[in-house]
Amino acid sequence: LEIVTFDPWAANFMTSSWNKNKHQTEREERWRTLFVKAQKGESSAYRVFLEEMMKVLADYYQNSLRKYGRGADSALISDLVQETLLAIHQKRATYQPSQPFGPWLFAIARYKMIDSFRKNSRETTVEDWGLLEASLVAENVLMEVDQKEDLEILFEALNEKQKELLRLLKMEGLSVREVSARLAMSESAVKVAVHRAMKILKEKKRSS
Amino acid sequence: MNHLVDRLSSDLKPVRLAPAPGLVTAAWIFLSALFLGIWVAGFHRYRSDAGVLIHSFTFTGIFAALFLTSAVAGLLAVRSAIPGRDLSKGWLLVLFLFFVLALLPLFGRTLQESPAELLSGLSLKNGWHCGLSVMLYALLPATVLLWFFNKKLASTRPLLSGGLVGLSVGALGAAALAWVCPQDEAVHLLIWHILPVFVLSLIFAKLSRKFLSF
Repeated sequence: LEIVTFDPWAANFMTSSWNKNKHQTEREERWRTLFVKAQKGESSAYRVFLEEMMKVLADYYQNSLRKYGRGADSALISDLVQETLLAIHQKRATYQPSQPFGPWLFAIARYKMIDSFRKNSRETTVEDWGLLEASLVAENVLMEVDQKEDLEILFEALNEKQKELLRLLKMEGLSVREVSARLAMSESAVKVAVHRAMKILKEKKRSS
Repeated sequence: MNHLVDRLSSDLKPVRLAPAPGLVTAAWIFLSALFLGIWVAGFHRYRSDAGVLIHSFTFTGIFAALFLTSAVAGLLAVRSAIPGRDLSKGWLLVLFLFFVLALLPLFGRTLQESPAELLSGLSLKNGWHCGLSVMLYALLPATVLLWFFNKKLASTRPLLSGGLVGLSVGALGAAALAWVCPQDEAVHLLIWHILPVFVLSLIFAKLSRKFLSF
Protein backbone atom coordinates (compact mmCIF):
# COMPACT_ATOMS: atom_id res chain seq x y z
CA LEU A 1 0.00 0.00 0.00
CA GLU A 2 1.27 3.44 -0.85
CA ILE A 3 0.50 6.08 1.73
CA VAL A 4 0.42 9.54 0.28
CA THR A 5 0.60 12.38 2.77
CA PHE A 6 0.31 16.04 1.96
CA ASP A 7 2.79 18.39 3.55
CA PRO A 8 1.50 21.94 3.06
CA TRP A 9 4.80 23.57 4.17
CA ALA A 10 6.87 21.55 1.70
CA ALA A 11 4.35 22.13 -1.05
CA ASN A 12 4.37 25.85 -0.38
CA PHE A 13 8.19 25.94 -0.24
CA MET A 14 8.53 24.04 -3.50
CA THR A 15 5.97 26.22 -5.24
CA SER A 16 7.56 29.47 -4.05
CA SER A 17 11.07 28.24 -4.89
CA TRP A 18 9.93 27.17 -8.33
CA ASN A 19 8.14 30.48 -8.83
CA LYS A 20 11.25 32.35 -7.74
CA ASN A 21 13.49 30.45 -10.17
CA LYS A 22 10.94 30.85 -12.93
CA HIS A 23 10.67 34.56 -12.22
CA GLN A 24 14.46 34.89 -12.19
CA THR A 25 14.80 33.01 -15.48
CA GLU A 26 12.11 35.12 -17.11
CA ARG A 27 13.73 38.29 -15.82
CA GLU A 28 17.18 37.32 -17.13
CA GLU A 29 15.69 36.28 -20.44
CA ARG A 30 14.07 39.71 -20.77
CA TRP A 31 17.39 41.45 -20.00
CA ARG A 32 19.15 39.20 -22.46
CA THR A 33 16.65 40.00 -25.21
CA LEU A 34 16.95 43.75 -24.59
CA PHE A 35 20.73 43.59 -24.40
CA VAL A 36 21.10 41.58 -27.60
CA LYS A 37 19.00 44.25 -29.33
CA ALA A 38 21.27 46.89 -27.81
CA GLN A 39 24.32 45.08 -29.16
CA LYS A 40 22.75 45.48 -32.59
CA GLY A 41 22.35 49.21 -32.00
CA GLU A 42 18.69 49.48 -30.96
CA SER A 43 18.77 52.44 -28.59
CA SER A 44 15.15 52.24 -27.38
CA ALA A 45 15.72 48.69 -26.11
CA TYR A 46 18.99 49.82 -24.55
CA ARG A 47 17.28 52.67 -22.71
CA VAL A 48 14.70 50.26 -21.22
CA PHE A 49 17.51 47.91 -20.27
CA LEU A 50 19.59 50.64 -18.58
CA GLU A 51 16.63 51.99 -16.67
CA GLU A 52 15.87 48.53 -15.34
CA MET A 53 19.53 47.97 -14.54
CA MET A 54 19.64 51.09 -12.40
CA LYS A 55 17.15 49.50 -10.02
CA VAL A 56 18.56 45.99 -10.25
CA LEU A 57 22.12 47.12 -9.56
CA ALA A 58 21.09 49.45 -6.75
CA ASP A 59 19.34 46.50 -5.04
CA TYR A 60 22.30 44.25 -5.71
CA TYR A 61 24.78 46.72 -4.19
CA GLN A 62 22.55 47.46 -1.24
CA ASN A 63 22.36 43.75 -0.37
CA SER A 64 26.00 43.10 -1.11
CA LEU A 65 27.31 46.05 0.89
CA ARG A 66 25.19 44.94 3.81
CA LYS A 67 26.52 41.42 3.44
CA TYR A 68 30.11 42.70 3.50
CA GLY A 69 29.26 44.84 6.54
CA ARG A 70 29.94 48.11 4.70
CA GLY A 71 26.59 49.76 5.34
CA ALA A 72 24.34 50.89 2.52
CA ASP A 73 25.86 54.32 1.77
CA SER A 74 23.57 55.79 -0.90
CA ALA A 75 26.34 57.90 -2.51
CA LEU A 76 28.56 54.83 -2.79
CA ILE A 77 25.71 52.78 -4.25
CA SER A 78 24.97 55.51 -6.75
CA ASP A 79 28.65 55.69 -7.77
CA LEU A 80 28.85 51.92 -8.12
CA VAL A 81 25.71 51.80 -10.25
CA GLN A 82 27.08 54.52 -12.55
CA GLU A 83 30.45 52.86 -12.91
CA THR A 84 28.83 49.51 -13.60
CA LEU A 85 26.54 50.99 -16.26
CA LEU A 86 29.57 52.57 -17.91
CA ALA A 87 31.48 49.27 -17.75
CA ILE A 88 28.53 47.39 -19.23
CA HIS A 89 28.39 49.96 -22.03
CA GLN A 90 32.13 49.82 -22.77
CA LYS A 91 32.36 46.04 -22.60
CA ARG A 92 29.04 45.14 -24.20
CA ALA A 93 30.76 43.29 -27.04
CA THR A 94 32.07 40.67 -24.57
CA TYR A 95 28.60 39.21 -23.98
CA GLN A 96 27.87 36.21 -26.17
CA PRO A 97 24.10 35.82 -26.77
CA SER A 98 24.43 32.03 -26.50
CA GLN A 99 25.58 32.37 -22.86
CA PRO A 100 23.37 33.07 -19.83
CA PHE A 101 23.10 36.79 -19.13
CA GLY A 102 22.98 36.85 -15.30
CA PRO A 103 26.53 35.56 -14.69
CA TRP A 104 27.95 38.10 -17.19
CA LEU A 105 26.10 41.02 -15.62
CA PHE A 106 26.82 40.16 -12.00
CA ALA A 107 30.48 39.30 -12.67
CA ILE A 108 30.94 42.91 -13.82
CA ALA A 109 28.88 44.26 -10.91
CA ARG A 110 30.88 42.24 -8.39
CA TYR A 111 34.19 43.28 -9.98
CA LYS A 112 33.23 46.94 -9.72
CA MET A 113 32.32 46.54 -6.06
CA ILE A 114 35.58 44.76 -5.15
CA ASP A 115 37.53 47.33 -7.14
CA SER A 116 35.81 50.06 -5.18
CA PHE A 117 36.66 48.36 -1.85
CA ARG A 118 40.28 48.14 -2.93
CA LYS A 119 40.49 51.77 -3.97
CA ASN A 120 38.72 53.03 -0.88
CA SER A 121 41.00 51.02 1.37
CA ARG A 122 43.95 53.14 0.22
CA GLU A 123 44.57 55.79 2.78
CA THR A 124 43.72 59.18 1.37
CA THR A 125 44.98 62.21 3.11
CA VAL A 126 44.22 65.77 2.14
CA GLU A 127 47.44 67.53 2.95
CA ASP A 128 47.47 70.87 1.25
CA TRP A 129 44.23 72.44 2.39
CA GLY A 130 45.25 75.93 1.30
CA LEU A 131 45.80 74.92 -2.30
CA LEU A 132 42.55 73.02 -2.45
CA GLU A 133 40.67 75.88 -0.84
CA ALA A 134 42.06 78.35 -3.39
CA SER A 135 41.07 76.06 -6.21
CA LEU A 136 37.53 75.61 -4.89
CA VAL A 137 37.08 79.33 -4.29
CA ALA A 138 38.35 80.02 -7.81
CA GLU A 139 35.73 77.66 -9.16
CA ASN A 140 32.99 79.38 -7.16
CA VAL A 141 32.31 76.21 -5.23
CA LEU A 142 33.04 78.08 -2.02
CA MET A 143 32.48 81.79 -1.68
CA GLU A 144 34.82 82.11 1.22
CA VAL A 145 36.40 79.77 3.65
CA ASP A 146 37.65 81.41 6.77
CA GLN A 147 39.37 78.56 8.45
CA LYS A 148 40.90 75.27 7.55
CA GLU A 149 38.42 73.57 9.86
CA ASP A 150 35.53 74.77 7.68
CA LEU A 151 36.90 72.92 4.74
CA GLU A 152 37.56 69.83 6.81
CA ILE A 153 33.94 69.86 7.97
CA LEU A 154 32.73 70.31 4.41
CA PHE A 155 34.86 67.41 3.29
CA GLU A 156 33.17 65.09 5.73
CA ALA A 157 30.24 65.10 3.32
CA LEU A 158 32.38 63.43 0.66
CA ASN A 159 33.31 59.78 0.45
CA GLU A 160 36.94 58.67 0.26
CA LYS A 161 36.87 58.34 -3.49
CA GLN A 162 35.57 61.85 -4.01
CA LYS A 163 38.24 63.23 -1.68
CA GLU A 164 40.90 61.33 -3.61
CA LEU A 165 39.58 62.66 -6.91
CA LEU A 166 39.63 66.27 -5.73
CA ARG A 167 43.09 65.81 -4.23
CA LEU A 168 44.49 64.51 -7.51
CA LEU A 169 42.72 67.02 -9.71
CA LYS A 170 42.95 70.15 -7.63
CA MET A 171 46.05 69.72 -5.51
CA GLU A 172 48.32 67.57 -7.62
CA GLY A 173 47.02 69.31 -10.74
CA LEU A 174 46.56 66.14 -12.77
CA SER A 175 44.37 66.17 -15.84
CA VAL A 176 41.11 64.21 -16.02
CA ARG A 177 42.83 61.72 -18.31
CA GLU A 178 45.70 61.20 -15.85
CA VAL A 179 43.30 60.79 -12.94
CA SER A 180 41.21 58.31 -14.90
CA ALA A 181 44.33 56.27 -15.68
CA ARG A 182 45.57 56.38 -12.11
CA LEU A 183 42.27 55.39 -10.54
CA ALA A 184 41.36 52.99 -13.35
CA MET A 185 38.11 54.85 -14.05
CA SER A 186 36.77 56.08 -17.33
CA GLU A 187 37.16 59.80 -18.02
CA SER A 188 33.42 60.29 -18.01
CA ALA A 189 33.15 58.53 -14.62
CA VAL A 190 35.80 60.93 -13.23
CA LYS A 191 33.87 63.94 -14.53
CA VAL A 192 30.59 62.65 -13.13
CA ALA A 193 32.15 61.94 -9.73
CA VAL A 194 33.86 65.34 -9.53
CA HIS A 195 30.69 67.10 -10.58
CA ARG A 196 28.83 65.28 -7.84
CA ALA A 197 31.51 66.11 -5.26
CA MET A 198 31.36 69.79 -6.17
CA LYS A 199 27.59 69.76 -5.89
CA ILE A 200 27.78 68.16 -2.46
CA LEU A 201 30.31 70.76 -1.30
CA LYS A 202 28.14 73.60 -2.59
CA GLU A 203 25.06 72.26 -0.83
CA LYS A 204 26.95 71.62 2.37
CA LYS A 205 28.37 75.15 2.31
CA ARG A 206 24.95 76.65 1.62
CA SER A 207 23.36 74.78 4.50
CA SER A 208 26.15 75.60 7.00
CA MET B 1 21.80 59.12 -13.33
CA ASN B 2 19.11 59.67 -15.95
CA HIS B 3 21.55 61.92 -17.76
CA LEU B 4 23.92 58.96 -17.97
CA VAL B 5 21.17 56.72 -19.36
CA ASP B 6 20.34 59.41 -21.94
CA ARG B 7 23.95 59.76 -22.97
CA LEU B 8 24.68 56.02 -23.17
CA SER B 9 21.54 55.19 -25.11
CA SER B 10 21.99 58.08 -27.53
CA ASP B 11 25.69 57.18 -28.11
CA LEU B 12 24.78 53.58 -28.88
CA LYS B 13 26.36 51.96 -31.91
CA PRO B 14 26.16 48.33 -33.02
CA VAL B 15 29.09 46.26 -31.79
CA ARG B 16 30.96 43.34 -33.28
CA LEU B 17 30.91 40.54 -30.72
CA ALA B 18 34.17 39.37 -29.19
CA PRO B 19 35.40 36.17 -30.88
CA ALA B 20 35.02 32.79 -29.16
CA PRO B 21 37.78 31.90 -26.65
CA GLY B 22 38.88 28.83 -28.62
CA LEU B 23 39.35 30.88 -31.78
CA VAL B 24 41.31 33.60 -29.97
CA THR B 25 43.57 31.03 -28.32
CA ALA B 26 44.19 29.08 -31.52
CA ALA B 27 45.08 32.26 -33.46
CA TRP B 28 47.31 33.53 -30.68
CA ILE B 29 49.15 30.23 -30.19
CA PHE B 30 49.68 29.89 -33.95
CA LEU B 31 51.07 33.41 -34.33
CA SER B 32 53.23 33.15 -31.20
CA ALA B 33 54.66 29.79 -32.26
CA LEU B 34 55.38 31.20 -35.72
CA PHE B 35 57.06 34.26 -34.25
CA LEU B 36 59.20 32.17 -31.86
CA GLY B 37 60.08 29.68 -34.59
CA ILE B 38 61.33 32.51 -36.82
CA TRP B 39 63.18 34.15 -33.92
CA VAL B 40 64.89 30.92 -32.88
CA ALA B 41 65.86 30.08 -36.48
CA GLY B 42 67.01 33.60 -37.27
CA PHE B 43 68.80 34.76 -34.15
CA HIS B 44 69.66 31.78 -31.98
CA ARG B 45 69.87 28.88 -34.41
CA TYR B 46 68.49 25.46 -33.53
CA ARG B 47 70.85 23.22 -31.56
CA SER B 48 73.01 21.01 -33.76
CA ASP B 49 71.47 17.73 -32.55
CA ALA B 50 67.87 18.91 -33.11
CA GLY B 51 67.38 16.25 -35.80
CA VAL B 52 68.29 13.50 -33.34
CA LEU B 53 66.26 14.99 -30.48
CA ILE B 54 63.05 14.77 -32.49
CA HIS B 55 63.32 10.99 -32.17
CA SER B 56 63.89 11.15 -28.38
CA PHE B 57 60.70 10.17 -26.60
CA THR B 58 61.57 12.17 -23.44
CA PHE B 59 62.53 15.33 -25.33
CA THR B 60 59.46 15.38 -27.56
CA GLY B 61 57.29 14.40 -24.59
CA ILE B 62 58.52 17.34 -22.50
CA PHE B 63 58.25 19.69 -25.48
CA ALA B 64 54.68 18.55 -26.23
CA ALA B 65 53.66 18.80 -22.56
CA LEU B 66 55.03 22.37 -22.36
CA PHE B 67 53.33 23.36 -25.61
CA LEU B 68 50.01 21.89 -24.48
CA THR B 69 50.40 23.56 -21.07
CA SER B 70 50.81 26.84 -22.93
CA ALA B 71 47.75 26.22 -25.12
CA VAL B 72 45.47 25.20 -22.23
CA ALA B 73 46.71 28.04 -19.99
CA GLY B 74 46.09 30.44 -22.90
CA LEU B 75 42.57 29.13 -23.39
CA LEU B 76 41.79 29.44 -19.69
CA ALA B 77 43.32 32.94 -19.63
CA VAL B 78 40.99 34.01 -22.46
CA ARG B 79 37.99 32.44 -20.73
CA SER B 80 38.91 34.16 -17.47
CA ALA B 81 38.90 37.49 -19.31
CA ILE B 82 35.23 37.13 -20.28
CA PRO B 83 32.82 38.07 -17.48
CA GLY B 84 30.77 35.21 -16.09
CA ARG B 85 32.71 32.43 -17.84
CA ASP B 86 33.67 29.62 -15.48
CA LEU B 87 37.03 27.91 -15.65
CA SER B 88 35.79 24.35 -15.62
CA LYS B 89 37.46 21.97 -13.20
CA GLY B 90 38.09 19.58 -16.09
CA TRP B 91 40.23 22.12 -17.96
CA LEU B 92 42.12 23.06 -14.80
CA LEU B 93 42.86 19.38 -14.23
CA VAL B 94 44.08 19.02 -17.82
CA LEU B 95 46.35 22.03 -17.34
CA PHE B 96 47.76 20.58 -14.13
CA LEU B 97 48.35 17.18 -15.78
CA PHE B 98 50.20 18.64 -18.76
CA PHE B 99 52.44 20.70 -16.51
CA VAL B 100 53.15 17.71 -14.27
CA LEU B 101 53.93 15.63 -17.37
CA ALA B 102 56.54 18.22 -18.36
CA LEU B 103 58.06 18.34 -14.88
CA LEU B 104 58.05 14.68 -13.82
CA PRO B 105 60.78 13.40 -16.18
CA LEU B 106 62.98 16.31 -15.12
CA PHE B 107 62.53 15.60 -11.41
CA GLY B 108 63.19 11.93 -12.12
CA ARG B 109 66.42 12.70 -13.94
CA THR B 110 67.59 15.12 -11.23
CA LEU B 111 67.83 12.22 -8.79
CA GLN B 112 70.17 10.36 -11.12
CA GLU B 113 72.53 13.25 -11.83
CA SER B 114 76.07 13.40 -10.44
CA PRO B 115 77.15 16.25 -8.10
CA ALA B 116 79.18 17.77 -10.95
CA GLU B 117 76.12 17.83 -13.20
CA LEU B 118 74.04 19.32 -10.41
CA LEU B 119 76.58 22.10 -9.87
CA SER B 120 76.86 22.76 -13.57
CA GLY B 121 73.06 22.93 -13.82
CA LEU B 122 72.80 25.40 -10.96
CA SER B 123 75.56 27.64 -12.31
CA LEU B 124 74.47 31.20 -12.92
CA LYS B 125 77.17 31.53 -15.57
CA ASN B 126 75.57 28.78 -17.65
CA GLY B 127 71.99 29.63 -16.77
CA TRP B 128 71.28 33.36 -16.79
CA HIS B 129 71.15 33.46 -20.56
CA CYS B 130 68.42 30.79 -20.61
CA GLY B 131 66.36 32.50 -17.91
CA LEU B 132 66.58 35.78 -19.79
CA SER B 133 65.68 34.08 -23.08
CA VAL B 134 62.45 32.61 -21.63
CA MET B 135 61.50 36.10 -20.44
CA LEU B 136 62.36 37.71 -23.80
CA TYR B 137 60.50 35.06 -25.78
CA ALA B 138 57.46 35.72 -23.59
CA LEU B 139 57.45 39.46 -23.94
CA LEU B 140 55.80 40.02 -27.32
CA PRO B 141 53.19 37.19 -27.16
CA ALA B 142 52.22 38.31 -23.64
CA THR B 143 51.93 41.95 -24.68
CA VAL B 144 49.72 41.01 -27.61
CA LEU B 145 47.43 38.87 -25.44
CA LEU B 146 47.17 41.40 -22.62
CA TRP B 147 46.50 44.19 -25.12
CA PHE B 148 43.71 42.09 -26.61
CA PHE B 149 42.26 41.44 -23.15
CA ASN B 150 42.37 45.14 -22.37
CA LYS B 151 40.78 46.30 -25.62
CA LYS B 152 38.40 43.54 -26.58
CA LEU B 153 37.62 41.55 -23.42
CA ALA B 154 36.92 42.41 -19.80
CA SER B 155 38.72 40.50 -17.10
CA THR B 156 36.79 40.52 -13.85
CA ARG B 157 39.52 38.31 -12.37
CA PRO B 158 42.69 40.17 -13.42
CA LEU B 159 45.05 38.32 -11.06
CA LEU B 160 43.96 34.98 -12.45
CA SER B 161 44.01 36.18 -16.06
CA GLY B 162 47.50 37.63 -15.64
CA GLY B 163 48.81 34.53 -13.90
CA LEU B 164 47.48 32.30 -16.66
CA VAL B 165 48.92 34.56 -19.36
CA GLY B 166 52.31 34.34 -17.60
CA LEU B 167 52.06 30.56 -17.40
CA SER B 168 51.04 30.32 -21.03
CA VAL B 169 53.79 32.54 -22.47
CA GLY B 170 56.37 31.12 -20.08
CA ALA B 171 55.61 27.53 -21.08
CA LEU B 172 55.72 28.53 -24.74
CA GLY B 173 59.07 30.26 -24.21
CA ALA B 174 60.46 27.21 -22.37
CA ALA B 175 59.27 24.95 -25.19
CA ALA B 176 61.01 27.19 -27.76
CA LEU B 177 64.20 27.34 -25.70
CA ALA B 178 64.39 23.54 -25.64
CA TRP B 179 65.37 23.71 -29.35
CA VAL B 180 68.18 26.18 -28.68
CA CYS B 181 69.86 25.43 -25.35
CA PRO B 182 72.52 22.69 -25.66
CA GLN B 183 72.50 21.89 -21.91
CA ASP B 184 70.57 18.79 -20.96
CA GLU B 185 71.10 18.63 -17.17
CA ALA B 186 67.70 18.28 -15.52
CA VAL B 187 68.62 20.77 -12.79
CA HIS B 188 69.54 23.34 -15.42
CA LEU B 189 66.22 22.83 -17.17
CA LEU B 190 64.25 23.07 -13.92
CA ILE B 191 66.02 26.15 -12.60
CA TRP B 192 66.68 28.15 -15.77
CA HIS B 193 63.89 27.01 -18.09
CA ILE B 194 60.95 26.12 -15.82
CA LEU B 195 61.41 28.44 -12.85
CA PRO B 196 61.12 31.55 -15.08
CA VAL B 197 57.66 30.26 -16.07
CA PHE B 198 56.52 30.66 -12.45
CA VAL B 199 58.29 34.01 -12.19
CA LEU B 200 56.47 35.20 -15.31
CA SER B 201 53.16 34.03 -13.85
CA LEU B 202 53.75 36.10 -10.73
CA ILE B 203 54.92 39.16 -12.69
CA PHE B 204 51.95 39.13 -15.05
CA ALA B 205 49.49 38.45 -12.22
CA LYS B 206 50.85 41.54 -10.47
CA LEU B 207 50.86 43.67 -13.62
CA SER B 208 47.41 42.62 -14.72
CA ARG B 209 45.56 44.11 -11.79
CA LYS B 210 46.60 47.51 -13.06
CA PHE B 211 46.74 46.84 -16.76
CA LEU B 212 43.45 44.95 -17.11
CA SER B 213 41.30 47.16 -14.92
CA PHE B 214 38.30 48.70 -16.63
